[in-house]
Amino acid sequence: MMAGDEEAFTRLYRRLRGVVYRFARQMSGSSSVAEDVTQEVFLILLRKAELYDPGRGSLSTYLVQIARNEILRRLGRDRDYVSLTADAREGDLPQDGNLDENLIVRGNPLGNLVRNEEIESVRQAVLALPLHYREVVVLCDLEEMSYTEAAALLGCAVGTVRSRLHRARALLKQRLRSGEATEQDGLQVNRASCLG
Amino acid sequence: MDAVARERGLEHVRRCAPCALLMVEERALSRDLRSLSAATAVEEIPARLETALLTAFRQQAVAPAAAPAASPGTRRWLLVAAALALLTFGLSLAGPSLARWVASSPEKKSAATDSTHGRDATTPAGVSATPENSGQAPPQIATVRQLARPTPDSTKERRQKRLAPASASRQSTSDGAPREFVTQFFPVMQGDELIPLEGGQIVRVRMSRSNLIPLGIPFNQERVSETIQADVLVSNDGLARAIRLVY
Repeated sequence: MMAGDEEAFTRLYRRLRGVVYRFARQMSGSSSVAEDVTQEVFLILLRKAELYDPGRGSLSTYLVQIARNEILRRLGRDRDYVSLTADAREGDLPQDGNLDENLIVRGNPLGNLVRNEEIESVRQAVLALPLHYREVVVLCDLEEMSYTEAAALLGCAVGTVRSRLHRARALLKQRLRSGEATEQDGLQVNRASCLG
Repeated sequence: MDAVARERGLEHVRRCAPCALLMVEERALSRDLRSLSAATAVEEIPARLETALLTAFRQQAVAPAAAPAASPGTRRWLLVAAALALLTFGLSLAGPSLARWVASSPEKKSAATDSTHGRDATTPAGVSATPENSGQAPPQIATVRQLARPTPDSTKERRQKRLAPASASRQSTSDGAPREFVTQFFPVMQGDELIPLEGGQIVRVRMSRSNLIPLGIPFNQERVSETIQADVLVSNDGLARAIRLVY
């Protein structure tokens, strides 16, 4: 790739884009941010490929590390802004005018709807986590990285990753449980009104 | 986790209700996270990203051939040269005011102030205006600018100036007359077009700062309720043509 082999770069990009994109998507909650970050990461790789040291870890870890820095920079920069909900729901909107695809009902629509809502609530719970908890959940639980890899990427001890993950999962359970409790309260009210 | 430890843990969970509940919750959370991971994994990355990156790659491949990258040493020299160029540019911009500050002597300042500010003693405060230099607007501008022109200093004076606080030159001169700073003239539009000026007078007035707003002249908004001194250039037909602020 460094010798200017376009084919090699394309193969590399196709192999590693998913890791970078998913990490950015899970960390930011926005697909547009994830796209920007992915592009930025590979541009950095293009321009400063010599900075990668194979002795310090795999290339995917290196790229995720760049993505992490980029996301932290963006989150710091946009801290004062309040995001509109449109971006969070952008997946609901038809893309490229492909309206028919969105209107086609496949399989069990109610089941799909419930499943999508569950996934969305988990996504929101992950996004609500503080950054240092969110990144360990994304790396270890969602990207299935080992604790050692995550520790190397985050620049901390393996024990720190473990404890952060433990706390993060506890927070997630708490948030999801409270969400379920609210829904169940709503159901009980509905049932009571039906029986009444 | 080895098989023995796992078996021991599962055995404990069978007997301990709180731990069993905890395990159920953990399993549910893991399942939810796997669902989220799977849902994200199927999200498609737009093809335009790849196109944009390939374009960048081709440009990157062409760029070194056209212009080889500078070595770190060359880069350092380029930085130094750029810094020097910036410094020279900054000095050339600040040169006149710097020379003025360094070279102007208190005596000459007071003399110049006397010649131009004698009127200040006779100018009543308030809104009333005092015409001066009838029909000689350009000489008046020249006189005021002369204040700012650098004058040669003796070594002794320069030493005194060094010892004096920097702000002193802005406060007052030896005879106690205040020194003034003026802005450039801002044109006052009469209608849509600028009428040629065939002569006029400069009138010094004290006006409310809020009156500067319709004229589009920038000023400190926090002092909008205060008044400010200004020179108004009034043409022979009696219309205000330009205005400058006096500090």
